[in-house]
Amino acid sequence: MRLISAHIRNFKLLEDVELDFSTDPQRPLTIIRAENGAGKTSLLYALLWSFYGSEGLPRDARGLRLTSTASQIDIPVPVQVRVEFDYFDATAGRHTRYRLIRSVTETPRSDDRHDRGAPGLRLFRVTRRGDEEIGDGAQALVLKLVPPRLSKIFFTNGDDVQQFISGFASTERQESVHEAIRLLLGLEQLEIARQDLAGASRIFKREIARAGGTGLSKIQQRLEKAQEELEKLRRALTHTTERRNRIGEAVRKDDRALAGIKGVGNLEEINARIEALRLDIADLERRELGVLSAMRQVLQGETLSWHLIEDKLSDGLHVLDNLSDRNVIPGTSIEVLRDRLELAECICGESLEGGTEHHAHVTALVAEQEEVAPRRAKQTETWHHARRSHAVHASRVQEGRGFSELRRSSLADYTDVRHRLEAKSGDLRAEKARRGLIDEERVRRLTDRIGRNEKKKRDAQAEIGRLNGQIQGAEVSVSQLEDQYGKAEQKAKVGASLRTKREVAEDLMDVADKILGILKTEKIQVVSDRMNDLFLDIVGSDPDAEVSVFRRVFINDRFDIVIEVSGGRTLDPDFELSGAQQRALTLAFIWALMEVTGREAPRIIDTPLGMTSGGVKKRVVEMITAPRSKEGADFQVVLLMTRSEIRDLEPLLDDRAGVALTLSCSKDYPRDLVNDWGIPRPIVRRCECGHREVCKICQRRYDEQHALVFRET
Amino acid sequence: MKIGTHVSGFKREVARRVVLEVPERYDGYRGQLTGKLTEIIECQERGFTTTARRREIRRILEAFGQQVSTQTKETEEG
Repeated sequence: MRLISAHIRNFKLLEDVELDFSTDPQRPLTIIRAENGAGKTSLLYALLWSFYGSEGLPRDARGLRLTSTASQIDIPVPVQVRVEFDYFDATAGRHTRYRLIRSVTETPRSDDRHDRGAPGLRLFRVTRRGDEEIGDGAQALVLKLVPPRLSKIFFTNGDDVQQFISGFASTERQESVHEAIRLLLGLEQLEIARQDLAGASRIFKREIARAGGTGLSKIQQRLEKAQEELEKLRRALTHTTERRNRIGEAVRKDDRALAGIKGVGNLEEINARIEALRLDIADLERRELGVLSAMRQVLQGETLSWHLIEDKLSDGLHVLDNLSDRNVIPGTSIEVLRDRLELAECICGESLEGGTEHHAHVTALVAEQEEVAPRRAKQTETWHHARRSHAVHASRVQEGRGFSELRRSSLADYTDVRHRLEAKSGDLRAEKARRGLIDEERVRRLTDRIGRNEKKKRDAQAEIGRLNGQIQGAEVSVSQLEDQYGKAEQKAKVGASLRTKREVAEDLMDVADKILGILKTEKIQVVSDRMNDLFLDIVGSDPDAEVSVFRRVFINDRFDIVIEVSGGRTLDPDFELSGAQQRALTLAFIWALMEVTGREAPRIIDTPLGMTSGGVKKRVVEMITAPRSKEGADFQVVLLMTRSEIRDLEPLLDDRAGVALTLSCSKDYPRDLVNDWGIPRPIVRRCECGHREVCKICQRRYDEQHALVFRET
Repeated sequence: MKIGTHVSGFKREVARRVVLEVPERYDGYRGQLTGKLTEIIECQERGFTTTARRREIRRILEAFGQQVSTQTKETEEG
């Protein structure tokens, strides 16, 4: 199947978007450039919805509205996706073009609810004479042409590609790998056909036995019973083997968890470290209080005053010094003057007898002193204090203990204590987390479970051995009874036609069996070898090089992909491959499988190159976009890529892309988009810009990083 | 020879090899076998229930068996 075009209407923000896809076998790539939130995932979902309806959407997205969240409440919105595709019918040996239209009307309601009308699907065969509508069975035909179980391969995103090999998203390890192999090789269909043929053969044998008489009938009944027993044993063997594998898987996971816990360290040591950290933290908290107290003292003392108003204080001291120089302060002592008046003699020797001029002067001085004394006393006291304080301040500054220095040093102390506290607290949290991991209860639980599961695994293994023995015995019985039956049938008088029917059914069973055998061994080997070549080429690993990590990747008889590294060790794809390697391995597997089975199908990958860079990124794109080989089936690759993913790949994309276009979303204006489209709601628009161009629609603010050429429209 | 629309060249090549191991009852029998296998596989895509599918397969085999029987007889006689 190859996509030719799609027209999407009112699906999420894709209000009216038409797309063409490259169908050129030499340039099989279609690049749809779109940044985050510009409609890549919506486009992928729209295509899935068109083929499979809501069932095709990821489980979590099935109940969500299909329309834009900007749609008006209570106004019905017609949603429609029209896809034109071409299908190569190997039986008829010709291509047929189809047009598929899926539509539904959705009415957004308040509170994020919506009502959805009955979905419609119309399928047309596009012919020269005009479109022929396929009425009944349209959906069945679509499902036949584009099997939904293969949708993971047809339509995927980078994250799913990464999880394809792992068991994270599935109940069974490598479930997607097994399913892809079974579906693409058609194993399931052949197995069902084989069972159907076996059933028909049994019925023919019963008819022959009835016609052949009691003897033959008895042998036939015994044979049928033996065959049923053999089938029962084989089913039990398959079931037990699967069970043993599942248990083995559980043991492996628990072992890994336990190894992780054991790698954390010894519980007593961790407890001792936690205790030491707690003591350190308590000490640091005390130091923090001390530093804060010292900071408060610095802020409350004269040092801060000197720092803040040193000029004013110096001016004040200067005024007081000046008063002192003029003997204004300290003030004349009143007591001395009063003594002199009592003694009636001045210090200078003159008489201070009452009535003298000198007495009057000294008396006036006493009165004056009595009036100004408190002020002078205060000035004197301030002068003495200021001189002392200034001397202290000067000496502190000289010794480097001024406010600025104290502030700097106390802040540094505080910062240091805080940093150390934070570091120690972080260490404490980490140690506690490790202690959480080492939770003895968990260790005990895991150890117990591993023990129980290992016993179950041993029991299952023993059961497998026993079943194998019983199967061998049953096979011998069946073979003997078949011999007996064959001889008895020869002797019996039954119609040649009846016998031929049975023989034909058995011939067909034989053919189906042998095809299955070859597919499960030889063809898987071819896929495995091709996957190995592609993967080693992408990751740039030379298996013969001394420093090479990867020796080979292969598919084992359980259809698991095994990654072998130096020394014959194997890697766990869940835990021991990087994201880029997981993506590379998945793509190598899918490409090898598609190539070997000759499946003609589009491969649409949303954001394929996350986590890849440099050579790996380039080689991944080189591999997935390579034109088909001469004998290979036609195929398409549609890559939904961001500018960053495209970066450095431009020359390769020039060669490989048959179609390149760009999607942009109006919501990105003005933050990312340069131009306003004048549309007052979020919608996605398509423009013709290829991976090297921009236009008024798609131009973004950081486009200069990508060396894009402006395209006039 | 055809093994169904779902099967491309690789499986046709396998089927071609495999039928060579089946005795050729008459000229063209092997080719018919692969065609019938295709028909039987295609029954799975026709929306039948399991019972209806098996009934249809029996019908195909009965008709085919009848035809093979006749042709084998003709070949032996001829």
